[in-house]
Amino acid sequence: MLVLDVLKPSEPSIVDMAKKLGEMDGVDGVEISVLEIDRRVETVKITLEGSSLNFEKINAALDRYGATIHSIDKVASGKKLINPS
Amino acid sequence: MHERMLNTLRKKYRSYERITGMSKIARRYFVMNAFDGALTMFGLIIGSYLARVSNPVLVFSVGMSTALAIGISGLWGAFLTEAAERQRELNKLERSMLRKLDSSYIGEASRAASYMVGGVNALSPFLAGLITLSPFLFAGKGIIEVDLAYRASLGICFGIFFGLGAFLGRISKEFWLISGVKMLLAGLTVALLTFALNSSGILGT
Repeated sequence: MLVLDVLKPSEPSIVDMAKKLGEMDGVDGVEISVLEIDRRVETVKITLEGSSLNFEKINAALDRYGATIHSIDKVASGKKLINPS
Repeated sequence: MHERMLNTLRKKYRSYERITGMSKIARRYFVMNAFDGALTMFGLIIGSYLARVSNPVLVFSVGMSTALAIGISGLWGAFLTEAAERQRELNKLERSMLRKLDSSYIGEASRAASYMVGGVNALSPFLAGLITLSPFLFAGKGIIEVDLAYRASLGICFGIFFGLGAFLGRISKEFWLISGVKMLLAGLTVALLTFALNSSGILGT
């Protein structure tokens, strides 16, 4: 599991972004919630779950959407998620 | 293979459209410049008729050169204007994001919108001109009489005016007939003014 704090332009929307991230290899589920909306940009929290998340590829995909990762807020790895909530 | 390529193109178009809203702008330019092209041809045809030009090839070549010039002017004007506006918006967004966005979807969509709007602006008057003048092409080949070509061209012009008006009416949810007639009035104004100028001797024919 990977939780990212991301700054993105208002367009493309989080719907497009979630769809694109969800189609990536190794990603089983995506959740994006909006934390803050400004005039042209928004800060979102992206939660990704999957059997083999590739951070480099995820970063590259976000980059194509014009987004920037502010911080990596949570990472969980291994055979068992310690605190899935 | 072709279907997959078309699908990719369609997806790309949709995502660019969501980012830039380019089809709305292109639609506006299409109506505006097709109207410009058709109205210019209308004036040219009436002028040629009043000057008793009986050579259809002459009318066609003069008309097409004019349509080409309007098309090129549309391409340059719309592309440069649109590119400048889009770049300005992109710069603002880049300042908010504190990063360059040229290689992102947003940068790509922004460039695609400029090309598309420029293309539509160039093609619409050119196509309107070509359709309007097509009877003279047939007259040049001896298929129809020059008189009929004049009448057919003027009829096509009125058809284009009305069609563009009706199209606008459909967009604005106004009654298409009223909207079509509004556009037709522009053509009638040109016709009336030309005839008035001609009968007063200002046009010298």
